[in-house]
Amino acid sequence: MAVAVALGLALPAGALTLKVADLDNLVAGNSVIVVATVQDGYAYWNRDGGLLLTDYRVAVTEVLKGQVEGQLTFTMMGGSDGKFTTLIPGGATLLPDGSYVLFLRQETLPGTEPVMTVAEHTQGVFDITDNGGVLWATSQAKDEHLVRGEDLSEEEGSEVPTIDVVGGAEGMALEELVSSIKALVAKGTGTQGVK
Amino acid sequence: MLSRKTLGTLALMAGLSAMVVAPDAMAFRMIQNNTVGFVSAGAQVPCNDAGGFTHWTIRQIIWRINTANNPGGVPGALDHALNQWNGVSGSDYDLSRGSSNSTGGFGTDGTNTILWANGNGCTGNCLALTGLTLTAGQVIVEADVTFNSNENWTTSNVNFDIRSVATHEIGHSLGIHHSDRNPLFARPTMRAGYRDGARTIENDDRDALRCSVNTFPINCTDPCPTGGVYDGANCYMWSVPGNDAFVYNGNFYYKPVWHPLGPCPNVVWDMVNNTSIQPWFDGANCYIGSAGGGPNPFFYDGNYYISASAGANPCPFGGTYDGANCYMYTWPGVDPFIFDENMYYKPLWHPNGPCPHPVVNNWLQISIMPTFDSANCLVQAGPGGNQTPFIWSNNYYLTPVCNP
Repeated sequence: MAVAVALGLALPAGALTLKVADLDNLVAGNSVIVVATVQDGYAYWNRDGGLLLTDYRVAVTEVLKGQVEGQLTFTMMGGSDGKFTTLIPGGATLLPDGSYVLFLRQETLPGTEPVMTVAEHTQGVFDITDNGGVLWATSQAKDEHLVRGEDLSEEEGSEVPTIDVVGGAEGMALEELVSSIKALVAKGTGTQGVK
Repeated sequence: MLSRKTLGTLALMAGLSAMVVAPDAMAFRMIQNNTVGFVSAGAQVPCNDAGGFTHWTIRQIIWRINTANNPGGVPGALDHALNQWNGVSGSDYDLSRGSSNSTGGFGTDGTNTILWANGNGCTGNCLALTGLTLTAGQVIVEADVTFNSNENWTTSNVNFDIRSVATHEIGHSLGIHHSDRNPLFARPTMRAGYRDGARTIENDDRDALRCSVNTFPINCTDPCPTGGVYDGANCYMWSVPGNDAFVYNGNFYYKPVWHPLGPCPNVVWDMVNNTSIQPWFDGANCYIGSAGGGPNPFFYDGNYYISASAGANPCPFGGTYDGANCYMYTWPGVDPFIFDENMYYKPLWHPNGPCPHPVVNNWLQISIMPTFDSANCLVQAGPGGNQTPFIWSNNYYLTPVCNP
């Protein structure tokens, strides 16, 4: 960013729009959105015996989209049986007792019937932390390839527009994220195009 | 993993290529995963992290393409990606594309596979996904890359460019995570990119691979872990028995051996033409002769007959009338069979069986008898993994996993 400003380059216009559009895409593309805390996980080999999957059971504290009551179980690629580990670099990370905002939908993973999963990987998981007494939500995609200030060309004629990660690298108040999601759901976003 | 989120930064980067930006030293990150049970992703850690990071313990890594759903240009694109990483000075990695394709998928099956699919957990905004199989000590034993087949893939350096994405994903397969370095130009491929500069690796990427090589050097004490004797270049396994030995799907075979007089040595007497005939091998069985269109061919005591006809000539289709039926061919001495009214017998193997030749390892002074798999003689199943079997100068070898 500093380099870009020093060069006198224009800052990207409409960043908020881009952020909202990105969240809109997440809301539209996922059938279940919850605030939840991980209770436990169970790793197992898939039907073909070639890939370790992990079923996560979470306690849902708030349902933002979809119909969920109490507990929810979903599946993610990756896991360990103590001898072998299947690892998805750049995939989402869920830890025991960790609290997250989760964007979920049905997908067919290798060697499974359609299962509920975090199909957007890190973009579909927001870490919830205590930020000076305020619950804070930070996208796990911030550690991947977050578009920062120098990525100005994204607004300068790229064929496919790209957007910043929701909440940026610093994250955002959980309350703000939740209310934004609720507003999109109330508006009807996601009733179409759920994958 | 790549998503399309960071698409398009590169045109500007090219425009600013005259700028000089101080590099972010050691911005690259490695993939760490020491957890057991609760796993999905890997942490981004610096090279010197006390917890170590994922790495291979071999240097020769073979990739194979599953050609289903492939866009055009995949072999060349994969070669490009592999060569990018092969070209890193100070690294002894030797990545290559196998001469045979993969039938494997996205999962642990002993083959490092690159494939295109609509699934495998890579849909929607996911362009490509690398899966690593680890064993104890964060040792990578297999990597697979699945590309999202719903996207428009190209080799023309526009979205989405296979070479760029493959170069990035192969970096993951080597234990390298996404870089923290995000410059205006010379953008590391491990920062993610889909075209232009992302086709080539940058110093940050090279530093990452050298970090892996130097942190986990190969002490090649066992270049031939699946057997054989290291001859200075390869693992010498067996002398070829001299009967059309070949390698198929990584396994070592030779063709079965017929009877010394050929596969169809037994003659029969043709009662139709009153002469002996030598059956001929049709590629699968020994053809003796036909019923000539006569009715109800059958065997009795191994001899071939057809039913007699009413009228003055009971055997109008040939053969000798024996008072009840028309005697066509004599018993060939082995079990004959009828197929489509023709008479055959199965080809005869060598007196010691179809796989009579032992295969000898002269160096270890051992020999084994192959097993007949109903088509060929299996000498030894392939080692799987990253060793390639081949036959050279009448001997069977495997490539080593490393070179001392």
